[in-house]
Parts: sequence; C-alpha cells; structure tokens
Amino acid sequence: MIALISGRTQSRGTGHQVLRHLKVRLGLAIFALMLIGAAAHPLLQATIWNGQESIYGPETGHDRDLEHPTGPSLAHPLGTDALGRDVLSTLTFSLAPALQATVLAALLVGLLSITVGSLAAYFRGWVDLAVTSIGDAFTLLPPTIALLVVGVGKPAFGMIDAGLLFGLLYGLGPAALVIRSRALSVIEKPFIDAARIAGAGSGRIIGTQMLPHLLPYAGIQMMGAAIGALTSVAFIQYLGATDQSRVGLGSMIYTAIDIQPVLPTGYGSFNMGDFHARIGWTSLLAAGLAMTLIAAAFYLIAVGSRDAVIPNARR
Amino acid sequence: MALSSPQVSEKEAGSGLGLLAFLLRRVVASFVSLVVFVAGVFVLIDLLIPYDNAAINAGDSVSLGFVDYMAGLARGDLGLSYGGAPVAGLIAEALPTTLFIFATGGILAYLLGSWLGRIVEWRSGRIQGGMATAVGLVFYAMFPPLLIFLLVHFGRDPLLSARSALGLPSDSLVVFRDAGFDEASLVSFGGWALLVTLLVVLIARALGRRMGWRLLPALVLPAALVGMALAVAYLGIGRQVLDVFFFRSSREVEIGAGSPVLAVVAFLLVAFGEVMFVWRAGIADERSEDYVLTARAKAVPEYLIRDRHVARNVALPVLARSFAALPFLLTGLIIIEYQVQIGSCALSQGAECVHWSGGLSTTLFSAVRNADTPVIVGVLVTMGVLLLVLRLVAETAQAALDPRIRLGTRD
Repeated sequence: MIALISGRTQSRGTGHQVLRHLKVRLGLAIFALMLIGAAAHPLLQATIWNGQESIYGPETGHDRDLEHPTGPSLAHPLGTDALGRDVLSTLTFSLAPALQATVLAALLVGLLSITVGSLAAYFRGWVDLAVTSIGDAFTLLPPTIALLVVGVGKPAFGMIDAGLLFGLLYGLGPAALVIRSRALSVIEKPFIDAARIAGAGSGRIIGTQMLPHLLPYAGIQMMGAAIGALTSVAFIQYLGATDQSRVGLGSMIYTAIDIQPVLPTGYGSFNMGDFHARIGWTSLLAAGLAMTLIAAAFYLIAVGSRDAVIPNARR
Repeated sequence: MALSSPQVSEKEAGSGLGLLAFLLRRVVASFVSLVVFVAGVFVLIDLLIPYDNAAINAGDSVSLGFVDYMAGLARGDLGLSYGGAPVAGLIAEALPTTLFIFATGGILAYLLGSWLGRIVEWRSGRIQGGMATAVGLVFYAMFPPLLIFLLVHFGRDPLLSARSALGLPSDSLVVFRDAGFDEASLVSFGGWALLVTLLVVLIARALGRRMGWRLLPALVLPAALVGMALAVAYLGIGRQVLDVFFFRSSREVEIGAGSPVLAVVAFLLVAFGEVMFVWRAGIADERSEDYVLTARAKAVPEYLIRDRHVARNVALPVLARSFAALPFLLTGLIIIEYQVQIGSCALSQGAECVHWSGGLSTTLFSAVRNADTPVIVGVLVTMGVLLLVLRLVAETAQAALDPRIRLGTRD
C-alpha cells in the first residue's frame, strides 16, 4: 500500500470518489426523498390541509364520510387506516421521528467508535483494557432490549432519547470493538512508522493517517446502528400504538394489522374474511416501504463509501 | 500452519497447556465483563427508570444493592419479584421456550445460510448474487411484526382455507379430539425431538467433513427428514402434526396464542441472511487462493474444492462472526416471541390451550408493563450470561482449532 503521508489531499480525493460512486448517489437520493417527505408534512398542514385538522390530523384525524380503511382516492391519496386517519398525513408525520432517531444513532456510533477504538489501538495499555472491558460488557446488553425496557409505556421517552441511548450502547459496545480491531491492524502498517519518524504527533497520526482507513468500517457500523435504531423505535411505537401517544411507522403497522374486528364466540364460527377486510393495506405498504427505504439508503451509502475507498473490500 | 510469533515454540503451541492458559484468560476477562455488564444494567435501571427508585430506597424485601446482587448471582439467586415469586424460578420456567426457538431456528438458519452462501458465491453470477443479497437483506431488516403478519396472511391462512375447502376438519379441537393425546404433549415432544435431530445432523455433518466421509454430510439432513416423516406416518399422527405445524386452528386468531413453529420460521428467516453474508464473504476471500488453483489444475471437482477445501478454511471466521451477531439475533427473537404471543393463551378467557409456556420475551414485557424491576434486571442478566457463555464456547472452539488465536498472535 502506498504511504499516505499527505493525508489531507488524499482525503479530499477520497471524498470525491465516494460521492461519485453509484451506490452512494442512489442512497443519498433515497435519503433526500425521505427528508422531502418529512418536510412535506408541515407544508401540507399549512396549505392544502389547513383548517382540516379533524380529518387530516396525523394522530386523531377521522373522515366521517367514509367507512375505514379505504384505498387511495383524491381526498386521501394513500387511503385511510382502520381508525380513519389519512395515511399520507401519518406517513409524512412519522418520517421525522424515524429519521431523527436513526441519524442520531448512526452519528453517535460513528463518533464514539472511531474515537474510542482508535485511542485504544494507539495508546494500548490501560486505555485499551478499559475500552475492551466496557465494549465486551456492552455487547452483552443488546441496545434494542435496553431501549424497550426503558422506553415502553413511557411517553416522556422521545425518539431523540432513543437515538442517543442506542448510539451510546452500540457505539461503546460492538462498534468500538470492531473499530479497535481495525485500528490495531492499521497501526502495524509501515506508513504509521513513517509518520512517526517524520515527527508527527499522536493527534496528527490518528487524525490524518489512521482515520481515513477506519471511516469505511465505521460507516458499516453506522449502518448497522441506523437499521437497529429504526427497528427499535418502530417497535416502541408499535407497542405504544394503542394509546395514540406515539404516531410513527411502528404504530402505522400496528393499526394496519392488529386492529381486529369484534370476534364472535365459539371456535368454528370465526370468519377470516372479516379480519382481512379490516387490514389497512395502504398503511401497511407505506410504513413497510418507508422502513425498507430508510434501511436501504443507509446500506447503499455505507457499502458504496466502503467500495469507493477500498475497491477490493470484501462484503 | 506456521506460527507468526517466533518466541513461542511449536511444542507449546500444540500442547493443551496453551489452550488451558487461553481459557483461563478468557474466563477472567468474561468475569470482568459480567461485573461491568451487571453494573451497567443497574445504572440503566437506576438512571432511566424513575419508578424504581422508591422501591430501592425503601429497602424492602426487594433488595437491588449491587454487591448483594452479585453475591446472589453467584448462588443463582436473582432476588424476588414484586409479586413475591423468586425471579430465578420465573426465568427457569421461560428459558426452555426461548432456548428451543433460538436453537432450532438458529441451526436451521445456519444450515440454510451456509448452503446458500457457498452455492451463490462459488458460482458468483451477478444476478444470483444480487438476488441473494436483496432477499437476505429484506428479511434481515424487515420489521418482525410485519414479517409475522406476512407469514400468517400469505402462508398460514391460505393453507387454512385450503383445508376447509377440502372438507377436512378446520379446527384443532376436532383434529385432536379422537387422537388420544393433546396438542401440548405433541408440541412439547415433537419440538424437542426436532431439536435433538437437528443437533445430531449438525454433529454428523461436522464429523463427516472432518473424517473425509463424502456421503455423510450430504445425506444426513435428507435422511433425518425422511426418518421424521416415516416416524410420523408410522405413529399415524400426520394430521395432528400438520395442524400444529401450519394451521394451529382458528382459535389461535381468537385468543392470540401463537405457535412456536411460527416463531421458529420467523427467526430462521431473520437469521439466515447474516449467516449467508458471512459465508459469502469468507468464500470470496478464499476463492482466489493458490491452493484452489492447484486443486483445479489437478482436476478436483468444483464441489469438492468448495466443500472440502475452501469451506474448511472459511468455517472458523464464519463461526466467530456468527457468534458476534448473536446479541442482535437474540433481540430479533425477543420481538418475534412477543409478536407470536407464545403462551399467552393461558391469560385469556380460560380457554383450553397448548401449555407451551411463554419465553423470556413474555416474562420481560410483562415485567416492563408492571414495572417489576427485579424481573427486568433478572431477564437482562440472564440474557447477558447466556451470551457470555456462548461467546466463551465459541472462543474456546476457535482457540482449540487455531493456535494463532490462543497464542494471541491473531486478534
């Protein structure tokens, strides 16, 4: 490998390489689409849906003229769910908290894992011991479970709290261990010795020599954190869906599949058709697709960045 | 295999002493991890769950002092729940269900994922590879409640309708009325029989590969499946097995008691992608090695190069990375268990139901809803200890097979 003494020039060139990569562009485009969707909600509320909170409110809206759930129509482009809420309104309303939690978790994981992992590999000794001990311990506490324990049934626990807690546990746990392991192999490379001999200090070696090699792997960890945080937050919303305090992608799925008709007594007399007629397909599809697209955006950006920086990287 | 550290003699590397020293180091490290982990759980509970402070400060029978708790943990005592029942007892009741689904689904996911990973990556067609990646990712990232809904709606329900259309009894009560045994015993016995069979299959495959017997690894799984089918036919319980396997009657919808089989299938779908990706990465790393070229030059058949040469070299890193994914798979399982609602029929309407007790998920969520802190801590600690033990087993297996790991020359 060519020695990377001129780290800054290299980083700038790498940045262009990353942005030119097809997967990264596709991922960014999907992400931008989600952001536009989230931004559309306040705009629509202020314009087209202005003064119609009782119909288009994402939490308590209900169109009394229709029997719900309904399919797409002019008044409700994505239909309504079983509770009579406009699916486009709930979807655009739900994107913001989902994006907040995922982006926050991903950024925190990137920041923590790179900082802690590279410091552990560079200084070794007690720093390394502390990082690996904490990392090993945090690996035993899956962040999603911690989030469910803390967040279920507590409306005060917001999606930003969820993103922060997830990022903290994942960033100091499994992500830190992976980045430390990568940093240990980077630090053995000849260009690190070359930088030392050239008189570079610890900060410069970590910042300009090690960092570019760790970023692609941190990107993969950030993707894992984003997808994990997305599922966790959605599940908290799913569990809290009944009290209508948490409208989100998870509660959209709950409303679509778990709002069941009043069941007749007796085992044989239940008619499956009653149940199927109540499934809010548009709500289900919209929320499922939004979650898949957010996950896909993070995947494409992370994998594309890594492929651009390390062309022979394995999956 | 050459040792990269010149200070260590080959004699020491090959001896059991090296392995023992490694094991000792890992046990000590695991103990430190456990202490930090339990402390972390205490901090989490103390700082983030406000309702608990009063109970802790009151100093009543529910003692959650850290030192007391660690001493209790060493004796297997996890304290008392707010309801007065020993937490360890509640967990012991729930653990078999979770372990059953985890083990059965995990083994099936490993078999499917490793097979797909090897086949797809070895042929390396772009379309096949892309499709496998997409399918694996979709299941891996899919919201578990949505996955279970799709399984029920597009899998179980059409089968239920088909059974009614064929004029067969469409209710589990009818299916089991004259059978002479109930669903509970069938699910329980059949489930454990399936798990034991799968374990035997795994061991036989590993043994066959190691000893160089070609037919055993290839035939043991089909043979086990045929054997199970013959056993079911001989006992004349086909209709009941199918009922438990696919249909589980209309009352499942009514009272919300899910089938462990549904949970196993959902867990299999969530988990196989991870194994497949790891296998593919491993195969991709190894396929261009010199020994593969040599084997090809000697006209060794492709499947033999793949399964007997490359797969052996890939197996170890795959094991390590699969175990690294265990915490996330366990998380998926907890959500799946919740959604399938295993064991919840005991809570509903006093209806007759399968006595398959709820898993850790049921215990955890009921504790979270009741703010029963000792049970929450108990479940978290149990999961942590479970993961710790599995990690220790994996590390020991790796160290036994790869001297570089136990000598610390390979991270």
